[in-house]
Amino acid sequence: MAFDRTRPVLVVDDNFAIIRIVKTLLDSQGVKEVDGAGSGPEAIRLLSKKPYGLVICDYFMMPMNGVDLKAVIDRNGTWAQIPFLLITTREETYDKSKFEKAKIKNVLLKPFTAQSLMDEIDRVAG
Amino acid sequence: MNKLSPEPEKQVHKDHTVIVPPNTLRAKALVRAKNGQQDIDEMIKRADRALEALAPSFAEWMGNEIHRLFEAISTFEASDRGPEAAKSFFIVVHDVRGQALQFGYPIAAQLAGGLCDLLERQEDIGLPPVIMRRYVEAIASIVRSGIRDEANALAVELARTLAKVVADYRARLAEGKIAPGRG
Repeated sequence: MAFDRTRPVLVVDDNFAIIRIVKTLLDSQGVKEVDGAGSGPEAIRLLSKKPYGLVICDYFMMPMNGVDLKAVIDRNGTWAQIPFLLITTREETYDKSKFEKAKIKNVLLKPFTAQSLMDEIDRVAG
Repeated sequence: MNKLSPEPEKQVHKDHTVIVPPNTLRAKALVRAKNGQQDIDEMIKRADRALEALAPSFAEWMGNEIHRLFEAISTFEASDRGPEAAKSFFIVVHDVRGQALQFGYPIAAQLAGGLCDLLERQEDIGLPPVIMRRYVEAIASIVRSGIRDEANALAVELARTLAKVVADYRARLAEGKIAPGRG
C-alpha cells in the first residue's frame, strides 16, 4: 500500500453514501484530501481545478457513466496520467470488452471491503 | 543523510536567504506504508473500524433509497411507460441494487437485479406496472425488516413468489392469452 497519500483523491459517484464510505476509508489510511463529485460533469469541473493523484469512479451514472468520464480524462494530456479505478457491480463486468476498450484496467466490484478497496488502490496507484 | 530529513533548500538572494523546508510528508507516507505486513494489517484494521463506525447509517441510507424507489415506480406508473420512462425507472432500480449490495442486503439486491433484467427487456415483454410494484414492495419489505440473511425464510418466499408471478405472466404472454402490459 504505497500510493501517494499526500495528493488529493477524487471520488465520483451519484450516491453520496458511497462517496462517504470511500472517503472514510481513505481518511483512515492517512489520505490528506478527498473530494467527492456527484456526476461526471462535476468531476470534470473539479479535475480542472486541482492536480488529483487518483480518481475513483462509479460506472453506472447519468448522464455520463464511468467509461465516458475516463474517455474525457484520457483526451486531456495532464489528466490522462491520473490513475483511474472504476467501481461497478458484478454483472456489469461480464462485458469486460467495454472496459478494456476504454483502457480501464482496474475494476473494484461491489460490495467492496476495506481490504479490497485498498488492494485495488495499491494496484492502480501504488 | 537521513532520507526523511533532507537538507532544506536555500535560495540565496542579495539581501536575504530563503530557506525552503523540505516536504517530507510523501516520504513519510511511503515509508510508513513499506514497514511490512504488520503495518498493512494495521491499516486494514483501521479501515475496517472506520467502516464499522459508519454501519449504523447503512439502514438509514438504504431507507432513503427505498423512498426514492417508490417515487420512481409512481412516476413510471403515471407516465406513458415508454422506453424513456422505463430507462429512468431502471436507473433508480439499478442504484438500489448497488447500494443493497454494498450495505449488506443481498436478497434485496437480488430482487432489484431481477427487476433490472426485466426492465432491460421491457420492450419485448411489456411487464405490467402492477408486477413491477410488487417487486418494489418486496424490496422495501426486506429492507424495512432489516433482512440481511440470504437464507431468511420470508425473503426467500418473497423472491420465489415474484419469480412465479413473472413466469406465469410470460407463459400467458407466450401462449397469446394476454397482450403485453396486462397482468
